[in-house]
Amino acid sequence: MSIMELRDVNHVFRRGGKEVHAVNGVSLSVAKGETVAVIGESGSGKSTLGRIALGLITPTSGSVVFDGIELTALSRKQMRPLRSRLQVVFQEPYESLNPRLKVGDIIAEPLIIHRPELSRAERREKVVAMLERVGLTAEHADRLPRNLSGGQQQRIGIARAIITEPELVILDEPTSSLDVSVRARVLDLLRDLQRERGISYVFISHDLATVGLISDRVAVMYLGTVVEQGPTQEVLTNPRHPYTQALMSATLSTVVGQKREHVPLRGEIPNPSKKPTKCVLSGRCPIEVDACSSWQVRLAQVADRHEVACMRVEQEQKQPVELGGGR
Amino acid sequence: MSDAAAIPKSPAAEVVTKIVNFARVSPGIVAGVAVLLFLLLASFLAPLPYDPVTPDPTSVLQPPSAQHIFGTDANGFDVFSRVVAAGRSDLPLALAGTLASLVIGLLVGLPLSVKSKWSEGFMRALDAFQSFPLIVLSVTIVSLTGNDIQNILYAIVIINGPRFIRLIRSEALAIREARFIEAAIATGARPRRVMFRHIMPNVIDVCLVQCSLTTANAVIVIAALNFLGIGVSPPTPTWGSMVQVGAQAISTGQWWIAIWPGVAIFIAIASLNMLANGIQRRVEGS
Repeated sequence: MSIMELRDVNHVFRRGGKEVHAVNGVSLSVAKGETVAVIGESGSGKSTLGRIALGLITPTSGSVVFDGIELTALSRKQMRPLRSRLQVVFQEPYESLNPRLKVGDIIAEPLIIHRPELSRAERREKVVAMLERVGLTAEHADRLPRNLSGGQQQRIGIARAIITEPELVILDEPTSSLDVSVRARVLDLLRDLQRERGISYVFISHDLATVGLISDRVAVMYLGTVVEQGPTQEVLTNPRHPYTQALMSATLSTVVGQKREHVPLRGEIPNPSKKPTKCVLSGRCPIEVDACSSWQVRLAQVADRHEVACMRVEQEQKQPVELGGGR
Repeated sequence: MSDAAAIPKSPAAEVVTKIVNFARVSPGIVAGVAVLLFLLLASFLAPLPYDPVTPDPTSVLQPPSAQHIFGTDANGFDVFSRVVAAGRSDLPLALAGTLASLVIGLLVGLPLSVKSKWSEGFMRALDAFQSFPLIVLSVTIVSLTGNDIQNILYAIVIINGPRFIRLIRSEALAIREARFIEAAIATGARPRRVMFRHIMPNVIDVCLVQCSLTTANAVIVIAALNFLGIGVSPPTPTWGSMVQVGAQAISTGQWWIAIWPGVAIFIAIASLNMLANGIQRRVEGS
């Protein structure tokens, strides 16, 4: 049973007459209690996808279903009661906290909005319990966000997100601005909370190592399109799409002396001002052939639940002959 | 902090310590507030040597002396008593006008920070309104509606309300882009909650600066209107009307009638500007 289902989601921003095709035909489903990672470089549309899943942006086309409710059909007002069940933690911990509110008031706000029947004392009690749950103390409630460390600020962001006991939390790069040691502890916290409460996560990230630690499944995005998705272990150990391979090979290894084959991509990520009409990696791909430019991007199954959007992989799958390029 | 807590102190001493520490960081704020408080308290509480509204026909146009330290004017009023007493109407009026302008600025400026055709249209209308010389407009309004003290209040609001609206709107537009606003919306906060709980507290800093500048401006507007004979009935002392009366006597050599209310205006404005400057620095520092 999936808690969230995105089907063929497209989103086009219009900025000063120019179009930005941020998300192109993305389908993604998140099961209850599952963590789905969305990986991509900046500009891959992964954060836009997160905002679409949250109902903060209505996609240009496509369907967003949360627990059987079509979010794209809801007005902002109709969306509001659902927000207690669908939460978010942002990348920048400090910027996502109102600098004028005390920590206790920040964490209490979702309760004020969604549980107005609670008395002040009951609310306070819940806030303190939540502070302690995320590894802070009651004493932090009276501080201002700027007097806390980045890790503590992010714990407050997490506390605010889960105090209404949501079923799905979108984690938009929640650890990428934190120190490595702090990062590990915040990830542990997120994992423990998931285990306790059965929360589902969409974990948006550009960091493969973090994704490997926390997610069950992973979707790799490039230029607004999912190019590969599947179980995390499968995708990270056996990446099939040339973009995923390039991303993997660009990640530094901590194993001393380990040599990796570096898969180079030519050039830079292009401007997403046009809807891609051919393979999104066309022009940068190391295994590109002429036929690629007329190929319509689609995901094809290569292993159990492992899907790849590459013409060469798809052909290889149909007729397993040596093509030389893929691994 | 911790070592200060170790030594028990009387509450009064603690307050003094706090003020001294604050003065070290922000001398402008403390000096500005101190001078303003002094002017206000003096105008209401100071024992006056003469009744400010009862002239003494036997001592007219006296230069400053031991009896009349600021001298007397053509009607035999004691200038010192009147300069001090004028603060009773001028300063509260300036503060009230500023407060009214601030409230209007918040109530109009915050909703206008929602981007829409309507809000853009309103801002253009405000541009047109502000392109009038507003002091002339307020003089016209006050003189048409009558010589009433509350009309001076309206004049201050007409001049300063649009400034507050503009300032608060532009600040709010910038804050609306902040991540914590998106977080509040994602939490399920209604637009009104976003506006008053999340945006408003973050525009207060710039509002405080603007408030002290506006109060200074209001002192001048009041003085200007009073100088033109608008807003007060003759025996009541105001700095503006005193300067006007005194100005007629300068050519005949009685400089003291106009100079003392002028000095009072100067002190009030200087202290308000010091306050504005101090707040500005604090805001930029944090």
